[in-house]
Amino acid sequence: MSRPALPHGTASRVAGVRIDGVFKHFVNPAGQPVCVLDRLDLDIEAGSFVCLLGPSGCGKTTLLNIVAGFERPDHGTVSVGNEIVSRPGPDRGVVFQDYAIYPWLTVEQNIAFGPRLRGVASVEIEIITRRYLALMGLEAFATYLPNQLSGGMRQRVAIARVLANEPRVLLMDEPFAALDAQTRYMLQRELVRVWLREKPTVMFVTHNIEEALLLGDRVVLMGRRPGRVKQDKHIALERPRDVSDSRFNELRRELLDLLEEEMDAV
Amino acid sequence: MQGVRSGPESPDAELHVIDPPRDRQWPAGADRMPRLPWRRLRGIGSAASYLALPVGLLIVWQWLVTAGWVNGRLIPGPADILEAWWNWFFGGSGSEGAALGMVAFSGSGFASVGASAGRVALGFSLSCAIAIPLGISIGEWSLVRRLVDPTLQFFRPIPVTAWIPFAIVIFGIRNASAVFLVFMAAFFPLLLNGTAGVREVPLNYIRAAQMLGGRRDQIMTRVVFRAALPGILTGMRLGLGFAWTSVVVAEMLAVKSGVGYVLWNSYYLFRMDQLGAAMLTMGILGFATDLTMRWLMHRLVGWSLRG
Repeated sequence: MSRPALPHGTASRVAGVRIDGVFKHFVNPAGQPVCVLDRLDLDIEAGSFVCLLGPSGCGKTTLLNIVAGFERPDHGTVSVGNEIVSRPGPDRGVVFQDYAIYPWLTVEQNIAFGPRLRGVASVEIEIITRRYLALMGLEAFATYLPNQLSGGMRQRVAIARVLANEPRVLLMDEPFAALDAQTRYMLQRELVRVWLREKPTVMFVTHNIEEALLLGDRVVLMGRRPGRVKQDKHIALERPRDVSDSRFNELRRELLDLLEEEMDAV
Repeated sequence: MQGVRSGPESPDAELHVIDPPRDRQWPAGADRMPRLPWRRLRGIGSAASYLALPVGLLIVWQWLVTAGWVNGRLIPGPADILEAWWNWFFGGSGSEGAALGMVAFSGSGFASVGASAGRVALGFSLSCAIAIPLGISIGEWSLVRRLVDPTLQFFRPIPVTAWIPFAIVIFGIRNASAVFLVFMAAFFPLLLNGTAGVREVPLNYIRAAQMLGGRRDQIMTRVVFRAALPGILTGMRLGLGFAWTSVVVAEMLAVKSGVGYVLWNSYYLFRMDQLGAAMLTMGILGFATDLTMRWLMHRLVGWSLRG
């Protein structure tokens, strides 16, 4: 689907992500080093939707934080487009599980926050804000404060805030894990709709198999201690995906077996 | 439960109720409570429950004095105190007052309040100007914390009253002494709440600003300071309370004007009604400033308050 030309951003802004031999360790409370990511390689195509699936403690959030630039790898590099990541930046938008939208700003001010920080002209900010309010179905809530919204609505604001900044890559860290099942399902469908329309590169961290299959072009199953890629699967199911479809369930079974194997191994 | 199974014909039939397009059709103001006549009645009732205890106490107190159960020379009744208060603020320095030994205070109320309020305003402003930026710096930069924290922790347990002799020696029996003591009294509540406010800013608020492209200075002013503001204002509210307390103490000993000075003089002249009037005034001033602070907090950081 083509989208209207906008005065900001460029058509070729979407970029792939290349993770090259990333190694990361932590020191546990007992003072021993624990390897979290062991020389991990991953190539993510521009415009694709990749789900990182794995049990807790497999380092998937750490990997996302490294791509975001919040943490640094001990060895190895992450590059977005042709640039090596060294710090957080507006080319990589992050959606957090706890929303992290600012409670002192209204919905529209939260959405305008990124463009405002970057010094975008206020006329343009107005256009951008309207566009993403509409895209996430938030027009009626423009002047609400986050405290007045439900969890699902807050996460919509967080997604709109990141999209308004026109990132090249969208990083999502279990964004729907704290929501009830219905709200989650609704937001999953909307995320797919927005992604099909805007086509950013998405890295989506989840521990939920169904969620990964519902969203991803590709599901990367990670094993733990140390974190590495256990299975890298392209999901050829057509969209919109049907959770009751037999092929969907075959894939679910397959991934569940692998996940159980991984959990038993520890 | 993992997701919702949808029907074959209409995949979103059961989800439609909470879809956002429906949200958009809510009438404006539908989330507000309608005004009903009984709510006004309930308002009067709640005002009565607020006033029942103080009014009851005043009546009992006046009755005890009038009936002679309590010596009115030692503990004057509310009516006497109110009369002294009125005379203090609105009385002339006429001769009939002089005959009763009232001339010392008559008509000087506003000057006294002005003197005290001026000291509080000056001392508190100076304290804010230093303690709030310092508190924020301690919370934000560990180097600043290491540099100043041991020194501050040493001074913190010294009560403000212990500074009075020092203040008198350095500044004399003058305005500066009282201003200094107010400054000291407000300093630590301001500092500690500023630090705590910054410390409690969620990490993801800062990370969110970083990934949106914020520079360090933007993150400080637009995120860290804004998120710490409720704590800073709480510190100001506490600090102002301590400022009023300390100005009374300072005026008793270190300066010769203001409400605290009148309070101490009333004691020397054994004018217990005037003493009561001075205490009443302190209560009103403290209460009024606290109300102002609460109003300010509601305006500035209403998002962080419950209800």
